[in-house]
Amino acid sequence: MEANELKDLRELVEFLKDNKIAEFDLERGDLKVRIKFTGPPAPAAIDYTQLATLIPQQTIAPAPLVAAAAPVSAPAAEVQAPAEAVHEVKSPIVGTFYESSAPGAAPFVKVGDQVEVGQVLCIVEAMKLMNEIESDVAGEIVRRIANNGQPVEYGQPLFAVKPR
Amino acid sequence: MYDLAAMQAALRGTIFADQVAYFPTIDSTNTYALAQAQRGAPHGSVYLAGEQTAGRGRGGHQWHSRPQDGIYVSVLVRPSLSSDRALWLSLIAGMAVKTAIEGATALAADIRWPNDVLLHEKKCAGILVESVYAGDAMRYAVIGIGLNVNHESFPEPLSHTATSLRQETGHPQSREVLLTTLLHALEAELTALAAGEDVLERFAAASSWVRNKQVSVAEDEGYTGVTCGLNPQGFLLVKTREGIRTVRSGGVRPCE
Repeated sequence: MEANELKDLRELVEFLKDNKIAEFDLERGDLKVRIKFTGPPAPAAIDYTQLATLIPQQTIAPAPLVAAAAPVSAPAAEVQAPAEAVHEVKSPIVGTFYESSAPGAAPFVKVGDQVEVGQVLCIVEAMKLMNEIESDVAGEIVRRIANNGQPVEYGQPLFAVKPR
Repeated sequence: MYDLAAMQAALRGTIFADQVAYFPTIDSTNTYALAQAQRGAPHGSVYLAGEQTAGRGRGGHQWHSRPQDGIYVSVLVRPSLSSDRALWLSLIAGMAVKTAIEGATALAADIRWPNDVLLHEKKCAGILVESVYAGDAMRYAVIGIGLNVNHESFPEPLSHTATSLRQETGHPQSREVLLTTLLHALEAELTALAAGEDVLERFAAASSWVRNKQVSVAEDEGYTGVTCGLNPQGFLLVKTREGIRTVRSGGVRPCE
Protein backbone atom coordinates (compact mmCIF):
# COMPACT_ATOMS: atom_id res chain seq x y z
CA MET A 1 0.00 0.00 0.00
CA GLU A 2 1.37 3.37 -0.96
CA ALA A 3 2.05 5.98 1.68
CA ASN A 4 -0.57 8.40 0.38
CA GLU A 5 -3.22 5.66 0.24
CA LEU A 6 -2.47 4.73 3.81
CA LYS A 7 -2.68 8.36 4.82
CA ASP A 8 -6.10 8.58 3.15
CA LEU A 9 -7.19 5.47 4.99
CA ARG A 10 -6.06 6.82 8.35
CA GLU A 11 -7.85 10.03 7.65
CA LEU A 12 -10.98 8.12 6.73
CA VAL A 13 -10.91 6.07 9.93
CA GLU A 14 -10.41 9.18 12.05
CA PHE A 15 -13.24 10.86 10.23
CA LEU A 16 -15.60 7.92 10.79
CA LYS A 17 -14.67 7.73 14.45
CA ASP A 18 -15.08 11.46 15.01
CA ASN A 19 -18.52 11.31 13.53
CA LYS A 20 -19.51 8.11 15.30
CA ILE A 21 -20.26 6.30 12.06
CA ALA A 22 -20.59 2.62 12.84
CA GLU A 23 -20.13 1.14 9.37
CA PHE A 24 -18.61 2.25 6.12
CA ASP A 25 -18.38 0.62 2.71
CA LEU A 26 -16.47 1.87 -0.27
CA GLU A 27 -16.20 0.29 -3.69
CA ARG A 28 -14.24 1.95 -6.41
CA GLY A 29 -13.11 -0.29 -9.24
CA ASP A 30 -11.02 -3.05 -7.70
CA LEU A 31 -10.72 -1.25 -4.40
CA LYS A 32 -13.04 -2.44 -1.67
CA VAL A 33 -12.95 -1.06 1.86
CA ARG A 34 -15.25 -2.13 4.68
CA ILE A 35 -14.91 -0.58 8.11
CA LYS A 36 -17.06 -1.60 11.04
CA PHE A 37 -16.75 -0.37 14.59
CA THR A 38 -18.06 -2.60 17.31
CA GLY A 39 -19.08 -0.88 20.53
CA PRO A 40 -17.58 2.51 21.37
CA PRO A 41 -14.73 3.15 18.93
CA ALA A 42 -11.53 2.19 20.76
CA PRO A 43 -8.51 3.64 18.96
CA ALA A 44 -6.17 0.77 19.74
CA ALA A 45 -8.61 -1.76 18.30
CA ILE A 46 -8.36 -0.41 14.78
CA ASP A 47 -6.22 -2.74 12.73
CA TYR A 48 -5.00 -0.94 9.67
CA THR A 49 -3.14 -3.97 8.38
CA GLN A 50 -6.39 -5.89 8.24
CA LEU A 51 -8.02 -3.09 6.30
CA ALA A 52 -5.16 -3.12 3.90
CA THR A 53 -5.53 -6.84 3.20
CA LEU A 54 -9.09 -6.22 2.02
CA ILE A 55 -7.67 -4.29 -0.87
CA PRO A 56 -6.88 -6.58 -3.83
CA GLN A 57 -3.17 -7.11 -4.34
CA GLN A 58 -3.15 -6.10 -7.99
CA THR A 59 -4.01 -2.52 -7.09
CA ILE A 60 -1.20 -2.10 -4.59
CA ALA A 61 2.44 -3.11 -4.49
CA PRO A 62 2.90 -5.76 -1.77
CA ALA A 63 6.23 -4.46 -0.44
CA PRO A 64 5.05 -1.01 0.74
CA LEU A 65 2.08 -2.71 2.38
CA VAL A 66 4.35 -4.50 4.83
CA ALA A 67 6.54 -1.46 5.29
CA ALA A 68 3.58 0.79 5.96
CA ALA A 69 1.92 -1.56 8.42
CA ALA A 70 4.45 -0.97 11.19
CA PRO A 71 3.94 2.73 11.95
CA VAL A 72 0.16 2.46 12.12
CA SER A 73 0.16 -0.27 14.75
CA ALA A 74 0.68 2.62 17.21
CA PRO A 75 -2.54 3.90 18.86
CA ALA A 76 -4.62 5.79 16.33
CA ALA A 77 -4.87 8.74 18.70
CA GLU A 78 -1.36 9.63 17.63
CA VAL A 79 -2.35 9.73 13.99
CA GLN A 80 -2.65 13.36 12.98
CA ALA A 81 -5.19 13.64 10.19
CA PRO A 82 -4.69 16.90 8.32
CA ALA A 83 -7.89 18.86 9.03
CA GLU A 84 -7.65 21.01 5.91
CA ALA A 85 -7.63 18.09 3.50
CA VAL A 86 -11.41 17.62 3.27
CA HIS A 87 -14.32 19.90 3.97
CA GLU A 88 -17.47 18.42 5.42
CA VAL A 89 -20.85 19.68 4.30
CA LYS A 90 -23.06 19.20 7.33
CA SER A 91 -26.80 18.96 7.78
CA PRO A 92 -28.26 22.25 9.03
CA ILE A 93 -31.31 20.44 10.42
CA VAL A 94 -32.70 17.14 11.68
CA GLY A 95 -34.39 15.24 8.88
CA THR A 96 -34.28 12.55 6.21
CA PHE A 97 -31.44 12.51 3.66
CA TYR A 98 -32.25 12.20 -0.05
CA GLU A 99 -29.63 12.01 -2.77
CA SER A 100 -32.06 12.98 -5.55
CA SER A 101 -34.98 15.33 -6.11
CA ALA A 102 -37.57 12.54 -6.36
CA PRO A 103 -37.63 8.74 -5.96
CA GLY A 104 -35.94 7.18 -8.99
CA ALA A 105 -34.38 10.43 -10.19
CA ALA A 106 -30.63 10.67 -10.74
CA PRO A 107 -28.60 11.73 -7.68
CA PHE A 108 -27.64 15.40 -7.48
CA VAL A 109 -23.97 14.42 -7.20
CA LYS A 110 -21.74 11.31 -7.16
CA VAL A 111 -18.38 10.61 -5.59
CA GLY A 112 -15.74 12.00 -7.97
CA ASP A 113 -17.92 14.88 -9.23
CA GLN A 114 -16.53 18.39 -9.27
CA VAL A 115 -18.95 20.79 -7.57
CA GLU A 116 -19.19 24.55 -7.40
CA VAL A 117 -20.19 26.82 -4.51
CA GLY A 118 -23.99 26.95 -4.47
CA GLN A 119 -24.44 23.64 -6.28
CA VAL A 120 -27.18 21.46 -4.75
CA LEU A 121 -25.75 18.28 -3.20
CA CYS A 122 -28.81 16.68 -1.64
CA ILE A 123 -32.13 17.25 0.08
CA VAL A 124 -32.78 16.95 3.79
CA GLU A 125 -36.50 16.70 4.42
CA ALA A 126 -38.10 17.62 7.71
CA MET A 127 -41.79 18.27 8.38
CA LYS A 128 -42.38 17.91 4.64
CA LEU A 129 -40.09 20.85 4.12
CA MET A 130 -37.70 19.92 1.33
CA ASN A 131 -34.38 21.59 2.08
CA GLU A 132 -31.88 21.67 -0.73
CA ILE A 133 -28.38 21.69 0.70
CA GLU A 134 -25.84 23.65 -1.30
CA SER A 135 -22.12 23.11 -1.29
CA ASP A 136 -20.29 25.88 0.51
CA VAL A 137 -16.99 25.04 -1.19
CA ALA A 138 -15.83 24.26 -4.72
CA GLY A 139 -14.06 20.95 -5.13
CA GLU A 140 -14.37 17.22 -5.60
CA ILE A 141 -16.90 15.05 -3.79
CA VAL A 142 -14.72 12.43 -2.11
CA ARG A 143 -17.31 10.78 0.10
CA ARG A 144 -21.03 10.65 0.56
CA ILE A 145 -21.52 9.93 4.21
CA ALA A 146 -25.29 9.65 4.59
CA ASN A 147 -27.40 7.04 2.81
CA ASN A 148 -30.55 7.69 0.81
CA GLY A 149 -33.63 7.74 3.06
CA GLN A 150 -31.55 7.67 6.23
CA PRO A 151 -32.25 9.95 9.22
CA VAL A 152 -29.67 12.65 9.80
CA GLU A 153 -29.02 14.79 12.84
CA TYR A 154 -28.24 18.47 13.10
CA GLY A 155 -24.57 18.98 12.30
CA GLN A 156 -24.08 15.48 10.88
CA PRO A 157 -21.67 15.40 7.93
CA LEU A 158 -23.37 14.60 4.62
CA PHE A 159 -20.52 14.89 2.13
CA ALA A 160 -16.78 15.26 2.23
CA VAL A 161 -15.51 17.69 -0.39
CA LYS A 162 -11.85 18.09 -1.27
CA PRO A 163 -11.52 21.82 -1.94
CA ARG A 164 -9.61 22.90 -5.01
CA MET B 1 -60.00 34.36 -14.15
CA TYR B 2 -58.92 36.26 -11.06
CA ASP B 3 -59.87 39.88 -10.47
CA LEU B 4 -56.25 40.90 -10.08
CA ALA B 5 -56.94 44.63 -9.55
CA ALA B 6 -59.26 43.90 -6.62
CA MET B 7 -56.69 41.55 -5.17
CA GLN B 8 -53.84 44.02 -5.48
CA ALA B 9 -56.01 46.60 -3.70
CA ALA B 10 -56.77 44.15 -0.89
CA LEU B 11 -53.07 43.43 -0.45
CA ARG B 12 -52.01 47.07 -0.10
CA GLY B 13 -49.89 47.53 2.98
CA THR B 14 -48.76 43.91 3.10
CA ILE B 15 -45.37 42.47 2.10
CA PHE B 16 -47.15 41.08 -0.97
CA ALA B 17 -48.33 44.48 -2.31
CA ASP B 18 -47.58 44.83 -6.04
CA GLN B 19 -45.70 41.54 -5.96
CA VAL B 20 -48.30 39.17 -7.42
CA ALA B 21 -47.43 37.66 -10.79
CA TYR B 22 -50.28 35.78 -12.48
CA PHE B 23 -49.94 33.01 -15.07
CA PRO B 24 -53.04 31.63 -16.83
CA THR B 25 -51.14 28.37 -17.18
CA ILE B 26 -47.76 27.23 -15.88
CA ASP B 27 -46.00 23.92 -15.26
CA SER B 28 -45.54 24.45 -11.50
CA THR B 29 -45.66 27.67 -9.49
CA ASN B 30 -43.05 26.25 -7.07
CA THR B 31 -40.62 25.42 -9.88
CA TYR B 32 -41.02 28.92 -11.28
CA ALA B 33 -40.71 30.57 -7.86
CA LEU B 34 -37.50 28.64 -7.09
CA ALA B 35 -35.99 29.77 -10.39
CA GLN B 36 -36.95 33.38 -9.67
CA ALA B 37 -35.53 33.11 -6.14
CA GLN B 38 -32.22 31.95 -7.60
CA ARG B 39 -32.25 35.08 -9.76
CA GLY B 40 -32.76 37.31 -6.72
CA ALA B 41 -36.54 37.85 -6.60
CA PRO B 42 -37.47 39.67 -3.38
CA HIS B 43 -39.10 38.49 -0.14
CA GLY B 44 -42.88 38.46 -0.54
CA SER B 45 -42.98 37.60 -4.26
CA VAL B 46 -46.20 35.74 -5.12
CA TYR B 47 -46.62 33.47 -8.14
CA LEU B 48 -50.23 32.62 -8.90
CA ALA B 49 -51.54 30.32 -11.62
CA GLY B 50 -54.95 29.65 -13.12
CA GLU B 51 -53.80 26.16 -13.99
CA GLN B 52 -50.73 24.01 -13.32
CA THR B 53 -49.79 21.39 -15.89
CA ALA B 54 -47.24 19.72 -13.60
CA GLY B 55 -48.26 20.69 -10.07
CA ARG B 56 -45.96 19.01 -7.60
CA GLY B 57 -46.35 17.49 -4.17
CA ARG B 58 -43.93 15.81 -1.82
CA GLY B 59 -41.66 13.05 -3.09
CA GLY B 60 -42.60 13.32 -6.77
CA HIS B 61 -46.37 13.23 -6.14
CA GLN B 62 -48.56 15.33 -8.39
CA TRP B 63 -51.11 17.93 -7.33
CA HIS B 64 -54.40 17.80 -9.22
CA SER B 65 -54.64 21.39 -10.53
CA ARG B 66 -57.78 21.72 -12.64
CA PRO B 67 -58.03 25.08 -14.47
CA GLN B 68 -59.66 27.87 -12.44
CA ASP B 69 -61.13 25.56 -9.79
CA GLY B 70 -58.37 25.89 -7.24
CA ILE B 71 -55.86 28.33 -5.88
CA TYR B 72 -52.37 27.38 -7.03
CA VAL B 73 -49.92 29.78 -5.49
CA SER B 74 -46.28 29.95 -4.39
CA VAL B 75 -44.87 32.55 -2.05
CA LEU B 76 -41.16 33.33 -1.84
CA VAL B 77 -39.85 34.28 1.59
CA ARG B 78 -36.36 35.18 2.73
CA PRO B 79 -36.72 34.87 6.50
CA SER B 80 -34.04 35.55 9.09
CA LEU B 81 -34.66 32.51 11.26
CA SER B 82 -32.53 30.03 13.13
CA SER B 83 -32.36 26.71 11.28
CA ASP B 84 -34.72 24.94 13.71
CA ARG B 85 -37.36 27.69 13.69
CA ALA B 86 -37.12 27.91 9.90
CA LEU B 87 -38.66 24.43 9.74
CA TRP B 88 -41.81 25.85 11.29
CA LEU B 89 -42.54 27.59 7.99
CA SER B 90 -44.07 24.22 7.18
CA LEU B 91 -46.39 24.43 10.20
CA ILE B 92 -47.39 28.09 9.87
CA ALA B 93 -48.32 27.61 6.19
CA GLY B 94 -50.98 25.08 7.21
CA MET B 95 -52.21 27.33 10.01
CA ALA B 96 -52.55 30.25 7.55
CA VAL B 97 -54.64 28.10 5.20
CA LYS B 98 -56.88 27.02 8.09
CA THR B 99 -57.33 30.66 9.15
CA ALA B 100 -58.21 31.65 5.58
CA ILE B 101 -60.81 28.89 5.17
CA GLU B 102 -62.39 29.68 8.51
CA GLY B 103 -62.33 33.42 7.79
CA ALA B 104 -63.91 33.14 4.36
CA THR B 105 -66.42 30.34 5.04
CA ALA B 106 -68.29 28.92 8.03
CA LEU B 107 -66.26 25.69 7.86
CA ALA B 108 -63.99 24.36 10.60
CA ALA B 109 -60.69 23.05 9.22
CA ASP B 110 -58.31 20.58 10.82
CA ILE B 111 -54.56 20.20 10.24
CA ARG B 112 -52.88 16.82 9.90
CA TRP B 113 -49.25 17.20 10.94
CA PRO B 114 -47.32 18.82 9.49
CA ASN B 115 -49.58 20.72 7.10
CA ASP B 116 -52.35 18.82 5.33
CA VAL B 117 -55.52 20.88 5.71
CA LEU B 118 -58.63 18.74 6.13
CA LEU B 119 -62.37 19.27 6.01
CA HIS B 120 -64.38 16.39 7.44
CA GLU B 121 -61.23 14.26 7.28
CA LYS B 122 -60.71 14.85 3.56
CA LYS B 123 -57.83 16.91 2.24
CA CYS B 124 -58.70 20.29 0.74
CA ALA B 125 -55.24 21.83 0.68
CA GLY B 126 -51.73 20.58 0.20
CA ILE B 127 -48.54 22.44 0.96
CA LEU B 128 -45.06 21.91 -0.42
CA VAL B 129 -42.34 24.05 1.12
CA GLU B 130 -38.99 23.96 -0.65
CA SER B 131 -36.02 25.81 0.74
CA VAL B 132 -32.36 26.28 0.05
CA TYR B 133 -29.66 26.16 2.72
CA ALA B 134 -26.11 27.35 2.44
CA GLY B 135 -24.13 26.29 5.48
CA ASP B 136 -26.34 26.77 8.52
CA ALA B 137 -28.59 29.45 7.07
CA MET B 138 -31.80 29.17 5.10
CA ARG B 139 -31.32 31.47 2.11
CA TYR B 140 -34.93 31.37 1.03
CA ALA B 141 -38.04 29.22 1.00
CA VAL B 142 -40.88 28.80 -1.44
CA ILE B 143 -44.21 28.00 0.17
CA GLY B 144 -46.41 26.29 -2.40
CA ILE B 145 -50.09 26.01 -1.61
CA GLY B 146 -52.76 24.16 -3.55
CA LEU B 147 -56.27 24.85 -2.24
CA ASN B 148 -59.29 23.06 -3.68
CA VAL B 149 -61.97 25.76 -3.96
CA ASN B 150 -64.61 25.21 -6.63
CA HIS B 151 -64.11 21.62 -7.72
CA GLU B 152 -67.52 19.99 -8.11
CA SER B 153 -65.99 16.54 -7.93
CA PHE B 154 -62.68 14.69 -8.07
CA PRO B 155 -61.74 11.76 -10.27
CA GLU B 156 -61.22 8.30 -8.74
CA PRO B 157 -59.38 7.50 -6.54
CA LEU B 158 -58.86 11.09 -5.37
CA SER B 159 -62.57 11.45 -4.57
CA HIS B 160 -62.11 9.26 -1.48
CA THR B 161 -59.48 11.49 0.07
CA ALA B 162 -59.93 14.94 -1.50
CA THR B 163 -62.60 17.59 -1.12
CA SER B 164 -63.19 21.23 -2.08
CA LEU B 165 -64.72 24.19 -0.30
CA ARG B 166 -67.58 24.08 -2.79
CA GLN B 167 -68.30 20.45 -1.98
CA GLU B 168 -68.25 21.15 1.74
CA THR B 169 -70.31 24.37 1.71
CA GLY B 170 -72.58 23.56 -1.23
CA HIS B 171 -71.70 26.87 -2.92
CA PRO B 172 -68.97 28.24 -5.14
CA GLN B 173 -66.50 30.41 -3.23
CA SER B 174 -64.55 33.50 -4.23
CA ARG B 175 -60.93 32.65 -4.91
CA GLU B 176 -59.95 36.34 -4.60
CA VAL B 177 -61.40 36.55 -1.08
CA LEU B 178 -59.76 33.28 -0.06
CA LEU B 179 -56.39 34.17 -1.51
CA THR B 180 -56.23 37.66 0.01
CA THR B 181 -57.39 36.29 3.38
CA LEU B 182 -54.74 33.58 3.06
CA LEU B 183 -51.94 36.04 2.29
CA HIS B 184 -52.94 38.30 5.19
CA ALA B 185 -52.93 35.25 7.49
CA LEU B 186 -49.56 34.14 6.13
CA GLU B 187 -48.02 37.53 6.78
CA ALA B 188 -49.32 37.47 10.37
CA GLU B 189 -47.84 33.98 10.84
CA LEU B 190 -44.47 35.02 9.38
CA THR B 191 -44.39 38.01 11.73
CA ALA B 192 -45.21 35.81 14.73
CA LEU B 193 -42.54 33.31 13.73
CA ALA B 194 -39.89 36.02 13.31
CA ALA B 195 -40.90 37.56 16.68
CA GLY B 196 -40.15 34.27 18.44
CA GLU B 197 -43.73 33.44 19.41
CA ASP B 198 -44.60 29.92 20.52
CA VAL B 199 -45.86 28.48 17.26
CA LEU B 200 -46.02 24.92 18.59
CA GLU B 201 -48.60 25.61 21.26
CA ARG B 202 -50.91 27.24 18.72
CA PHE B 203 -50.31 24.42 16.28
CA ALA B 204 -51.19 21.81 18.88
CA ALA B 205 -54.42 23.69 19.59
CA ALA B 206 -55.26 23.93 15.87
CA SER B 207 -54.68 20.26 15.03
CA SER B 208 -56.63 17.26 16.29
CA TRP B 209 -53.77 15.06 15.10
CA VAL B 210 -51.18 16.10 17.66
CA ARG B 211 -52.57 13.93 20.44
CA ASN B 212 -54.51 10.69 20.88
CA LYS B 213 -54.81 9.86 17.20
CA GLN B 214 -54.26 6.28 16.05
CA VAL B 215 -51.95 6.65 13.06
CA SER B 216 -49.77 4.76 10.66
CA VAL B 217 -46.50 6.43 9.70
CA ALA B 218 -44.96 5.91 6.28
CA GLU B 219 -41.37 6.40 7.36
CA ASP B 220 -38.41 4.07 7.79
CA GLU B 221 -39.95 0.58 7.75
CA GLY B 222 -43.45 2.00 8.47
CA TYR B 223 -45.11 1.73 11.86
CA THR B 224 -48.29 2.46 13.79
CA GLY B 225 -49.06 4.07 17.14
CA VAL B 226 -50.89 6.84 18.92
CA THR B 227 -49.82 10.47 18.60
CA CYS B 228 -48.61 11.99 21.87
CA GLY B 229 -47.61 15.59 21.24
CA LEU B 230 -44.79 17.50 19.61
CA ASN B 231 -41.16 17.54 20.68
CA PRO B 232 -39.47 20.92 21.33
CA GLN B 233 -38.41 21.10 17.67
CA GLY B 234 -42.00 20.59 16.48
CA PHE B 235 -41.65 16.99 15.33
CA LEU B 236 -44.64 14.73 15.94
CA LEU B 237 -44.27 12.06 18.63
CA VAL B 238 -45.94 8.67 18.25
CA LYS B 239 -46.24 6.17 21.06
CA THR B 240 -45.62 2.68 19.71
CA ARG B 241 -45.31 -0.71 21.40
CA GLU B 242 -41.53 -0.32 21.30
CA GLY B 243 -41.54 3.18 22.75
CA ILE B 244 -41.98 6.76 21.60
CA ARG B 245 -40.85 7.49 18.07
CA THR B 246 -40.31 10.84 16.36
CA VAL B 247 -41.82 11.42 12.94
CA ARG B 248 -39.31 13.36 10.88
CA SER B 249 -41.30 13.97 7.75
CA GLY B 250 -43.26 10.93 6.67
CA GLY B 251 -46.93 11.04 5.87
CA VAL B 252 -49.22 10.30 8.81
CA ARG B 253 -52.48 8.56 8.05
CA PRO B 254 -55.42 7.41 10.14
CA CYS B 255 -55.24 3.81 11.25
CA GLU B 256 -58.12 1.72 12.54
